[in-house]
Amino acid sequence: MDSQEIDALLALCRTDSAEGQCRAIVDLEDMRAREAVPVLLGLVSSPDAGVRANVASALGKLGSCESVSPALLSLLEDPEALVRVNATQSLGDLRCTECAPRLRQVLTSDPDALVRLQAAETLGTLKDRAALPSMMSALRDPDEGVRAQAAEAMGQLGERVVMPELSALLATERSSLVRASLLGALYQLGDEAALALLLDEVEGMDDQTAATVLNLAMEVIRPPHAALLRSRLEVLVRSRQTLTAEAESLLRRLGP
Amino acid sequence: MRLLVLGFALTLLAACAGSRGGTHELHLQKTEDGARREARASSDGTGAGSAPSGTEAEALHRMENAISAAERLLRSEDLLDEERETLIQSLGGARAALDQYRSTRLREAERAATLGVIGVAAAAIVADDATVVGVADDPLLIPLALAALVTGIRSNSPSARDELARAWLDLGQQLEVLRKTVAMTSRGNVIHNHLVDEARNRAIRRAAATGVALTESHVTQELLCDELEHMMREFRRSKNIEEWKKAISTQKGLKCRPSRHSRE
Repeated sequence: MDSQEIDALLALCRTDSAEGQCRAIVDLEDMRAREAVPVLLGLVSSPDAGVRANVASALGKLGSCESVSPALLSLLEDPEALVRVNATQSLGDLRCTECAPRLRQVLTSDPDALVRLQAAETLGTLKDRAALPSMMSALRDPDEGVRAQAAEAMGQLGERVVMPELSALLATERSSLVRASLLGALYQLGDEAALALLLDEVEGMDDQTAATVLNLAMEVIRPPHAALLRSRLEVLVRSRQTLTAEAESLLRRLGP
Repeated sequence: MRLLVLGFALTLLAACAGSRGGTHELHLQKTEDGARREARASSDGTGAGSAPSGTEAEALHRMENAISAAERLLRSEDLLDEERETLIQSLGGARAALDQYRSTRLREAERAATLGVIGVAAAAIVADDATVVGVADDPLLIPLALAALVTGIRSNSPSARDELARAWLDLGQQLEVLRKTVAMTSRGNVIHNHLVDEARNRAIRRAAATGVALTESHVTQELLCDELEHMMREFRRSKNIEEWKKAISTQKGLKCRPSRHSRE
């Protein structure tokens, strides 16, 4: 690591140029320059939203929960949604489990859907079982992305008690992305039939959504059921030209 | 894109808005004193026992417009049944609070102290271009307009707790409920097609640079996610907040995973 280069970037952070600060923060993050944390903490109250958003992101890569969580929690109050999204993600990256109660509030009350979505993802990453009630309520969020992420997080939390609720939601959910996430979660929680249903859904989907769902299936698949995914992918290779490359790529990752 | 109206322009806007309401020169003043004088003028003779006029009427007119704009969202076929129900309730609350304020205002026209503060709030609302919502405006502007209206009300709260003050504060509260409902209704997890197209083109160019010829259908989800990660770093470095947020949104929509697509 070039300490002179890091010093130069830190000096750039101390200037008044928001543009320069943003470039320097990204470079410091790329260089894994943990010594930048004190300087970054000084930029938390920058008047420039772009700088604060970059700081919120970099602190999650360079800091530790102990050293930066108070700053990240303060950034959850930021008026710019992007800053709140990044602060929420960073708290998850740093595994700040003690911040989970605040993240539960974010999940249920932040006015920005992307922030709520990120909160659902982070609470799933933190495996915060106390978030179950907030997550249940997020399953009825007006935003499909939040609902999909909440469903995925349910699968990660591993609480089988939510399975009847997830199944019931399938009956009324119209969004194909949310339906896929609900089925993926049910499969993760032990409902083996949900995998076949998930793969059935691909048939009526546009290519982009189908590719997303196939990748989702790839992520949750357990070895005993790999053959089912493989057979469906092989069918797609032959029958759906526009998905051939995606299906072949997934088959390679799935292995023999 | 809305213009930010500052300084004299703010004052002029307030004056124009006031003149639409059909009142006098007091509206040319955007200062607190001016607003207080106007409120007193309404309460101590010229406007006693009558409906709000001038700046206050314009502020109420903007609230009415914001509520009507939110009402138009009910026509959207994308609205889920639950969203529609919540929006109907919030709209009902906001309309009732606005009607309640108007009727209380008719009865409580002698509340000079409260009216003075409301006058200041009304002037602030009228001076803020963000509180204007037109019939053809982007639905995304509605929560911003409601937020500006609520800020105008809350930053000048009457200290008295008479019926008029309560009606005014309740109006602010109901508009805030409506703002939250409208904001919660907006779609956040959007795959932005222009970013996906750009990511796909970049993947094709990157492959071509290494001598590999890719067509669009050869670009897998994994390649797209890699390119989006590159693009996001560019947006971060160039401080392009809007595109950065869209890139994150698109990554979430495509379910890109940092563990799988990280460039570490």
